[in-house]
This record gives sequence, C-alpha cells and structure tokens, in this order.
Amino acid sequence: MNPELEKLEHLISRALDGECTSDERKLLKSRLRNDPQARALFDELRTLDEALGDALRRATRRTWHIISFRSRWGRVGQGLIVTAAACLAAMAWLHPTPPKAGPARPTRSIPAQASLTPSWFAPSPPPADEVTPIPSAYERPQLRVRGTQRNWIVIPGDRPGTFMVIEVDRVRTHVIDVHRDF
Amino acid sequence: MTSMSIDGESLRQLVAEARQGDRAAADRLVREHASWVRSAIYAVTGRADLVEDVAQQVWTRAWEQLGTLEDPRRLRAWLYTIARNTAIDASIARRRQRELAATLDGQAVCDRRGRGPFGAAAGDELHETLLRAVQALPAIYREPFVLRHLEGWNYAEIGETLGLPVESVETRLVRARRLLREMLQGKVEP
Repeated sequence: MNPELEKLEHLISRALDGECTSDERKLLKSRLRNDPQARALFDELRTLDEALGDALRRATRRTWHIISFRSRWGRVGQGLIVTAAACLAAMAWLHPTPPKAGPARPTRSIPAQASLTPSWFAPSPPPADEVTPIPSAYERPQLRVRGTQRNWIVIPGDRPGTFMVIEVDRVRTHVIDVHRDF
Repeated sequence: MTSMSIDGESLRQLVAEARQGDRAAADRLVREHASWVRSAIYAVTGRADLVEDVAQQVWTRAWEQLGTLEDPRRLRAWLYTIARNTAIDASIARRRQRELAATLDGQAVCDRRGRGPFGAAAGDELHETLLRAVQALPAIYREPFVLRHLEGWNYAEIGETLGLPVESVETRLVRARRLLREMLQGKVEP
C-alpha cells in the first residue's frame, strides 16, 4: 500500500476517534483543503463510521432494551400480583363470609354496629360463636337416635361452678375381629 | 458509555469486600462494569442475541474466580479475558448447534448471524448490511472497533482492556476501517 495513503488513513482514523493532537488537526485540515482525494476519503470514512456506530448502538440498545424492558415489567407484574393478593386478603378479613344457614345455636346476639370494624385499630368484636349459659327452660331432648351413644365433654369455666358442656351423640361402633389367616 | 468513576483504591476495597461475600460491593461492581462487558461480548461474538445469556455466564464465572484476581486494578482486563473466553465458547456452541440442526434437517448450513431479534425486526436492509460487515471483520479488528463505538473508549482504555499497546489499537482500528470501507463500497453514500 502507498505509504502516503496509509499515513493519511492513520491521521483520519485518529481524527475520527478524537485522538489527534492540535498539530495533527492542523495538518489534516490543510490536507483536506488542498487535496480533493484526501477530502473524499475523509468524507467517506466519516460517513461510514457514523453509520456503523449508529447501527451498532441501535442493534445492541434494541436487544438489551427489550431484555431490560421484559425484566422490568416482570418485576412490576410480580409486584401487582403481590399487591392484589394482599388486597384480597384484607377484604376477606374485613368482610368475612356469612355462616351458612343451619340450626339455631344458643349464641349471644352481637350488636349490629359491633359487627362492622370501622378501623384496623378499633377493638375487635367478640367472636360470633361465643357460648352462653344454657337457659333454665332448656330441656334435653329425650329422643335418641337408634344406634347412637351420648357423650358429654365438660370443660371448666374461668369462675368456680361454671362449665361448658358439649353434648355429643355419636354413632355406636363395634369392635370386629379381624381374621388374620385369609 | 461506561463510567470510570471508581478510583484504584476504592476498586481494591470493593473487590476485597466482594471477595468476602459483601453483596452490596458485588452489586456495585456489576453495575459499574455490566455495560462494557455486554459491549465486549458483542464485540467478540458479533451477535446481540447472545449477549445477555453470555453476560450472565461471565458474571457467574467472575464470582467463581474472583479469588484468582491478583491485582484489582487490572479488574477490567481480567473481566475482559473471562468475557472473551465465555463469548467464544458460546459462539462455538451455538455454531455447532446450528450445524447439527441443519444436518438433521438435511439443509445446507447458512450463516444466519445478524438475524437475531434485532436483525429481523429492524426491516432495514442497510442496517443489516452494516452489521454483517462488522460481524465479518476478523475478531482482532472487530473488538477494538466495537468497544470504540459502543463504549466511546479512547485508545489507552481499549489497550488497557485488551492488553495491547496503544499503537496496536490504532493500527487495528485503521485496518478495521479499511476492511469495512472495502466491504461496504458504494453502499453508504457520503
């Protein structure tokens, strides 16, 4: 290769990369002013350099942007799911599902205003299944289902002489011999 | 452009803390170097679609081998070596995979480099032509050229990272431009 041209290439390359000294810049300027071929080469290399740099930046930025966009939205999605789950849990806690209809139990009625919790910091209402003393008029049903056995579970209360009694009618069971020789 | 915000002493301390398992120090190291490591991987492979996977492998290897880094001031060159080796391994693996797939399909192996997620979507013929030209450069010219354009590093920084004298960096950039000019003759109008 022509050593003069090679020298010019080096000078142009240094200029494009911002590595020229002030003397080199002056030299290049005068060369470009007086030599149309040098001017054409400089313009060509500069255009190529700009186009290639732009293409490289576009290519890498596009791919990495897609990846970072995905990971960023992935994180946002996870955050939204956690927030939604927290909201649902809070709603379920504040508005519990009403109990299914069934036989009336001897429970103390809860005042209407107490069933609503106005604030997270307000005292919580008494539990709905609090057991109250059995009224004196209560009579134990005489009817017994055949094949059942009546049991009681007695739990002492916090004051002397108070008990919680749980009456259980359970199906009678029989012990059956298991033949081990079949 | 990668920031060169960590001075030598801070870098030494940061590396020491990262070695002892300090997660914050490790995070800072990754943040400081992640951008140019990606550029380096792109410079070696010439494929943007490989970059993110290879970058993860690079950081995994880097943490595994952090104890072998003798001089923390040479962290960049050390990381570059890991990035280059990992990128070359990934390129070879991908090429083998492609060749095997082509053999199984009974099709001729064709070079589809550059038709990654960005290439196909761009729809810009000139853009693709330019990227193919960069990919076609020999790696020794492509690496400094890509680092110069993506990271904006000067010759000294490129030389320090690639382990080359400044004169070699300059010569390689001149040759890269010469080759690119030949390849793209008449395709880009001034």
